[in-house]
Amino acid sequence: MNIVKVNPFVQGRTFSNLIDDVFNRSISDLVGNDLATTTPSVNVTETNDNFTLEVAAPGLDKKDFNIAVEKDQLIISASKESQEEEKSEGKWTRKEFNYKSFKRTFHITEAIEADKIEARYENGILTMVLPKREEVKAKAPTTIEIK
Amino acid sequence: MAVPGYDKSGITISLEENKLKIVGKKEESTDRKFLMKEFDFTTFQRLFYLPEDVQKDKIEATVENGILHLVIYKAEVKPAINVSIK
Repeated sequence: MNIVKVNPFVQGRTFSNLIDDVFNRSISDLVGNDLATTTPSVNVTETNDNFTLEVAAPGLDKKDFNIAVEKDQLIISASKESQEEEKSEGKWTRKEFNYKSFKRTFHITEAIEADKIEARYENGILTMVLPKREEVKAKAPTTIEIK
Repeated sequence: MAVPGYDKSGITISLEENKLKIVGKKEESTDRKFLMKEFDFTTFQRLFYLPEDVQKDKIEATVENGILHLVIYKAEVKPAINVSIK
């Protein structure tokens, strides 16, 4: 990765030049090419009963994933056996993603029942359902009758 | 091309002259509460300009594990003809 120095005080630079310098780069320029193309994106949603974590990791197989819970950390890792290399007789003319191996770690709270986490891999998305413990689920308000 | 969450029903591929257009669309419930959102593939469109020397009627597409594979064959190169001088 190249480190690009930005000096806003160099003469002849307007503010918009500076903005262009800072924002006209893709994320891959800023954090290094590898991280942006090899780390899949994650969505997390919440319902009353559970959290759902979706990892967009296309092109892998169910057996490539390894999901582990260690104390309060959920570790999702994947490594694809490099069978691709044998068949890749062609050369790359463009490469925008490469999810051969990655690792992402999430902090999970006490509210989650770690032994009841379910995972499935479908159409390139790994979906994990993390159920909440009974006692933290939002309960319907109970009405108290006045005697 | 990475199309996570799609099966073949959500993807439309069209070819107009040398413009290859790939459009994806799927319905997703909007009432979900996101705590973290790093990707959104509910709609996308990508346009590729194909070079002249491809066989436009022989493009093959498959979707597998969230990856759309398109195989575009190059046009067969006609062998050079030697013109003999009489």
